[in-house]
Amino acid sequence: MTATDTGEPDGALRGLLEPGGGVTLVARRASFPASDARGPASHAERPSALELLLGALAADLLGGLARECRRAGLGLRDAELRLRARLENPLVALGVVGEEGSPAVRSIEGALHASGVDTAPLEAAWATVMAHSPAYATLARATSIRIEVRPLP
Amino acid sequence: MRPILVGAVLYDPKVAVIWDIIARFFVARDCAMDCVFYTNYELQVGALLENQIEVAWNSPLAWIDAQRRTGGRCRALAMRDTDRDRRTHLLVRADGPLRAPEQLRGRTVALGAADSPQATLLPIHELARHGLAPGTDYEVRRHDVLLGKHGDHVGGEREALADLVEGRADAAAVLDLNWELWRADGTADPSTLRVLASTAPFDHCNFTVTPALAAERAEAWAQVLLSMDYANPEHREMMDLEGLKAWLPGRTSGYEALEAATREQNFFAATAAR
Repeated sequence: MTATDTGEPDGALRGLLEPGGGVTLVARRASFPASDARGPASHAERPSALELLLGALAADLLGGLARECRRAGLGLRDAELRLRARLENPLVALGVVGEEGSPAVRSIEGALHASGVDTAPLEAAWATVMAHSPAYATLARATSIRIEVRPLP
Repeated sequence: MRPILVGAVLYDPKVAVIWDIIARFFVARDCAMDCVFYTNYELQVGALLENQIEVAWNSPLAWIDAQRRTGGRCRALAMRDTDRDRRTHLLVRADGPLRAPEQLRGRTVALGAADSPQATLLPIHELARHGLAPGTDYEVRRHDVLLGKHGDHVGGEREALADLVEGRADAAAVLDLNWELWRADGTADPSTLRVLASTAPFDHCNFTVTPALAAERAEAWAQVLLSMDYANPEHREMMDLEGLKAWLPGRTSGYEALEAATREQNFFAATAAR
């Protein structure tokens, strides 16, 4: 069965350009600063667009893991997900004149550290989370994603 | 006011951070500046001459190219203290028999990229002064790492050094600053290598402008640059990243040997033919 398309978006966000070139993102009742993919040093206090892309993945996966563990009665205590993205040609993303190739994300790698759950149920819950994650499903169509699951005692 | 557009050749995304910090320094002093990055000096010099950018952070070879293409109408606005009076060393093994450049006849010399002033053009020029021609009197092992970037990337020199250390070459050309750095950080073992000969002093990069940039706009920009003070902790990080202790007014007297080298080696005609 597929959901009926009501025409309503499943997610929405506003982006507001600031005078210095930074961006404020507004979603629901929250607003937070951001910068472009390059994330120049002058915007060090703002996550770059690329970091926010990783952030969307991390939020989706970790939030989903908490939900799956709760439903399965697993005693998840703590979890931390570390992610790193590499671009196909970062110089293209910087706008270097004459550079060839693509600024697309070449790969995302990382590790999930979680405590309170044994290896087998943790991996099962993680597989379910990835299957249900819009951020993971979308990014996985476009790039290689490799996340190690590392249970902690 | 429209920002002054400064061109720079970029081989590593990390270098963009330095330019971002420099641009912020200018903006904070009411001198709007923005950077445009190029993948090679040929594109950058072309953009400067077509007024797409107003200032170009040029390698010495790019400076000579810009002068050649404008009939000598460019101006060197400023340079680092460390751009002045550089030398290239011809290194040999310390326990080897070589005592004079002439003794490289019949030997192998490891050089950097074909367009590197310090690691190819000037050492070939130096050996020519001793009566040695590449390919005829000595064999060249060249390391064309990132051609178009005029040897900015030290990879070619590092490979040349490895040739010497590992016995594939009898001598290697290395910029004095790199030799100092590599002796200090352990890349090179100073007990096993020594300097056989050095080039005459030459100058390296400069900020190049054309007459299209109004004099008052150029001077305003240069004044802000020259106001950076190494004694000021807020400026020091930026200056350390760029490898200098003081910005100095540009001078053009330190490019004569490289100009001569490009003529002798027919460099620009050969490049155009490729």
